[in-house]
Amino acid sequence: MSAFESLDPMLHSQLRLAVMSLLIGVKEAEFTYIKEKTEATAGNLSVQINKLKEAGYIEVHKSFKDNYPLTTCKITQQGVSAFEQYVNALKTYIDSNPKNA
Amino acid sequence: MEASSSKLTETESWEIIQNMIRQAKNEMRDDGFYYLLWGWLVFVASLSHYVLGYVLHYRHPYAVWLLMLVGIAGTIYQSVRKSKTQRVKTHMEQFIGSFWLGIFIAIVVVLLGAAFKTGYAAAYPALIAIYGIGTFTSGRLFRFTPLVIGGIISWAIALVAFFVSFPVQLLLLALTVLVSYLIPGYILKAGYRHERV
Repeated sequence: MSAFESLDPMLHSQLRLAVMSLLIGVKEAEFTYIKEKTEATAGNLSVQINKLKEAGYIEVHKSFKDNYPLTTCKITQQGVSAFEQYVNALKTYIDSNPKNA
Repeated sequence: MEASSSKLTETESWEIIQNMIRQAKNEMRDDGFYYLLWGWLVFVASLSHYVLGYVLHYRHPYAVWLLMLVGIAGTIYQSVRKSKTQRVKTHMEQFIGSFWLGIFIAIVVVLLGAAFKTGYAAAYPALIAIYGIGTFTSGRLFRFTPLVIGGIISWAIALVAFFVSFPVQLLLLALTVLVSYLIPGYILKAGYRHERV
């Protein structure tokens, strides 16, 4: 069995991984910003953000800005640990299979 | 971005991670606004103080330092405006904001000490050195060499300032903000415009 197969399924998904990679480098980001950077549809992004929230990887804060609803996302400590584990597992796999990298 | 359930390869995972981290990194661009605002205000105030006090012999040349109130108002206005339009907040921005607030408070403390105890001639070299800390550290954090060079030159000027009279210190202060705020500020502004085109 390769290390790749044991990767966290919550992160081993294109959009969820993109959201987490974006949030790992910032303090917090608005939904519209994440949507623009990931080029995802609002519906799909909402679903994936909700999954990450339920897993405890991100915090989602809903408020209002100039009378419009505002959703802000922030990575949690648990999310940071999971992301680090995912990156380490990926690195181990690539190191042991250099031709695939 | 495609449906989330699509099977990822390890190379794709790496690409996603790198691409998104790069996107977030782009948020740390600086348009040089604060360097230019404070640079021009201090530059004009220190030269005006020199000309009014030591060329024209005006009685209250230090009144020009009231210009700093424009800097405070401009800084508050810009930071409120930015926080309203900004859709992402970075750790670096938060750190740099606290750092410059600390620099500002240190300057106020030194100025209070100068006003009530030591006199300004004893305080100006310290002020110039504090300016140097601000630009040097910001330059190192953002890997922006003109600010680092500006900071180092500020410290050299601060050292010289200990040995000269107050009128000359005013000219040295103007030189400090020219090399450590105005020149890097204009380079930042030019780079920011270029990136946005």
